[in-house]
Amino acid sequence: MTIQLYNSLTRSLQPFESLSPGLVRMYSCGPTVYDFAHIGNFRSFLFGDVLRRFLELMGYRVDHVMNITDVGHMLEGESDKMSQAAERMKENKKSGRVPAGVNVDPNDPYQIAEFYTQAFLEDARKLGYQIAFEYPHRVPKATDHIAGMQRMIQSLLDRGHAYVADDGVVYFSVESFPRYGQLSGNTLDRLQTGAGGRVSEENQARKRHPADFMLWKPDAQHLMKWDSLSGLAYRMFGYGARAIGLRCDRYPHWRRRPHLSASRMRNRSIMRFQRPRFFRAVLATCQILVC
Amino acid sequence: MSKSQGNFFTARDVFEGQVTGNPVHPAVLRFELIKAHYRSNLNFTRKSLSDSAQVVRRFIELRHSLETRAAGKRAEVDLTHPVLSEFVAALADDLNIAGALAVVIPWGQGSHPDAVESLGVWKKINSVLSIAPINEERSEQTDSNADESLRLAETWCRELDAARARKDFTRADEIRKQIQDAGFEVRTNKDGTTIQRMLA
Repeated sequence: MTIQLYNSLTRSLQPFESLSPGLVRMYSCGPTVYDFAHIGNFRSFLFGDVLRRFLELMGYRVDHVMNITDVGHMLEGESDKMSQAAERMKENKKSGRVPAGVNVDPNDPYQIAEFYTQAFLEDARKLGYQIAFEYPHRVPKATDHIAGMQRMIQSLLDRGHAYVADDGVVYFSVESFPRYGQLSGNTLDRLQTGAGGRVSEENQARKRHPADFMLWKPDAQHLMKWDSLSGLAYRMFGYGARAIGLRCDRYPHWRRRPHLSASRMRNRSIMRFQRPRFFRAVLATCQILVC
Repeated sequence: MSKSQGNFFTARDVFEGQVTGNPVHPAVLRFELIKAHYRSNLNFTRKSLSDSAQVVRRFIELRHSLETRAAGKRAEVDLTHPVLSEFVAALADDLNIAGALAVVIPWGQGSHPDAVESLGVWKKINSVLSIAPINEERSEQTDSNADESLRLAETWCRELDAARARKDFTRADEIRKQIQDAGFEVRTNKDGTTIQRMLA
């Protein structure tokens, strides 16, 4: 029987054929764990779950992976989401939403992330979300893959898909990738500069193109920090990608890059996250992306 | 509903009854969230949730009834089975979940002369929907408050039966309403009144 699915690249229904016989590789954008997941989150997760279960009923083996975004998912001009989460944790403890016995230090972002990761998994299992039963094997955490993200950013720099602005921020260059936005439909001619109201004019002026987005940025103020790559002549801090935590080492072009050893790293830096727009293209080896 | 507007509900809020006033079984929330097509909007309402609870209840009861009648026997059913082939054909059409449910729900309500075969079909369907087995025997048995409310409601059931026996139907209706308000579904037949905790 032919399976038809809507392909957001072509904006049309298309017969589905797996790239490998009998095997479907599928990636779901996972939760950002600074609060309890809401039902809108779960609608998207469960859609992926129904798709996976249906493909399995049809006899496919489904290689399903989902990430946990356990670093501050930050927006310019706002405080670190992990700082906000710390405040919320204090409130939740007072109001009893976080049970009294739970011992989480609200000032430790790793403890907060771990608490909400477990809360997410608990809710997800109740809702029959299959992949939550496959944690941690198929549910990698972003913080376990920072080095891979840095390598990917380095690779984008090497290949001219990213550049360093005068304030040390690494941006992805949307013009370097002619097919940018095709999957989401937000192609460059349709994007409106600053429509989200999240980026200051000053920062916009530093970019080559208004739609360029941050990958990594120096910042001393935030809670979670990582060492920068010393191979770069400037400080970096990650505006990494939540999607990229996904087994980037599996992708052939990563394997060819030498791994940076710890001794080559210096400079405390901070991880930030950006929407996984371009990683949808990067992760092309995954046939189904649920974002 | 969106997080940026601040008017969103966490799954926990829904489970714990903070959204609708009644605790919601996770399988009901799952069904509620998957029953609309993935490219359409979902309207999350109390009415819709209560409709979902009906479907989930029927599925759980069907499973119990088929398992009892099948008495441990299993049949391998493949996708050529008429019910499954229609179910799968609907889902193969861009995950047409409404079409799939339009096959499954009437099938569930129909007669099942061959319980073993029907149980095989049921299992395949539920491998996708996954709405009946999850936490079905809720932890309410271990919750002393829940135990207490169940005992109280069962006392009311006997009062309801007594009222019916003396043909005081006004009183019987009052008691029925009282039991429902306490979060139970009420069924009365010639053998008397039975209750089940509402799923949503």
